[in-house]
Amino acid sequence: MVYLSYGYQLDIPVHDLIEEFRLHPMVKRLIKGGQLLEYSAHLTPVAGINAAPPKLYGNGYLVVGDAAGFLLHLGIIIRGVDFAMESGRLAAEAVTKAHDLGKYDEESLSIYGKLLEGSFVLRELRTFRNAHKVLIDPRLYNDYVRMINNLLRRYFEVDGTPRKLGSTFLESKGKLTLIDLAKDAIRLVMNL
Amino acid sequence: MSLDRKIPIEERLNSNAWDVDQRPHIRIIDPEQCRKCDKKPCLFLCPARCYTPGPDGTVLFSHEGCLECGTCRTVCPENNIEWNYPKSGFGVQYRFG
Repeated sequence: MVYLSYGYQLDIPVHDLIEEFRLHPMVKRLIKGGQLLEYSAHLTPVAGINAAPPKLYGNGYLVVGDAAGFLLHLGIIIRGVDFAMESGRLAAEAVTKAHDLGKYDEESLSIYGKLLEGSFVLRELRTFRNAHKVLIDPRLYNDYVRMINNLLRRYFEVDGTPRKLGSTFLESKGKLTLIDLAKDAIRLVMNL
Repeated sequence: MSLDRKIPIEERLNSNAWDVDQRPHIRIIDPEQCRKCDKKPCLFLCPARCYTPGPDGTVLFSHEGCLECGTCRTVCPENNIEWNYPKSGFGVQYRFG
């Protein structure tokens, strides 16, 4: 997954990046023996329910899945397939009801809104409505990963010098300041 | 196809099913804007490498290998790409979702 807003900072094109990812030793062993069947790409909004259209139903239409902003990017996971399935199912239910009434105007399709309100889809999306604002920070995927790797390597390295957790941590944090760490910790806890 | 090496993008695109419309569904509105654009994010962010550097700072594109993600239209800093889905039934045909 690539956040387009940081696309300017890429030093290799995405079609090469994906191959480097695929050939990374950790990924390579997971797909060992696999076959390339199809090559595809998809663009999705990340702002979740904040990027939803103002109305999810109207005269003759219902909006489901990623078009409705039903996506949740919680750091390393991209969630949305389950929301797409459930919103599709609820849309079908709403259409069936509208069919019984014999009309497909906003009023008869408004049942879709009520079904969504009672579903896990909106509950989850509302709880994490601002998650993307903290998770889009590149520090999480660069500096913090480096810090954790440095910390664990130094802490467990046996080289004849004693390693205390506090001082090893300070050595490992690289260019991150304690203020950065405190701010990010608060932001993450507030929004996740 | 061995997966132990980097597979060139052309080869990866060849694994897809296509029915290409002769009429392009992508249009660069004003090539002069591309010449002036120093970031050219389309070159880096198109997953199908539809955009390639042309002579004299311009950008060349081919619509044949388009995966229809719409990224180019979104990232073009000059809004210089006109992009529509290909005519119904044409374009890439995803068989696995």
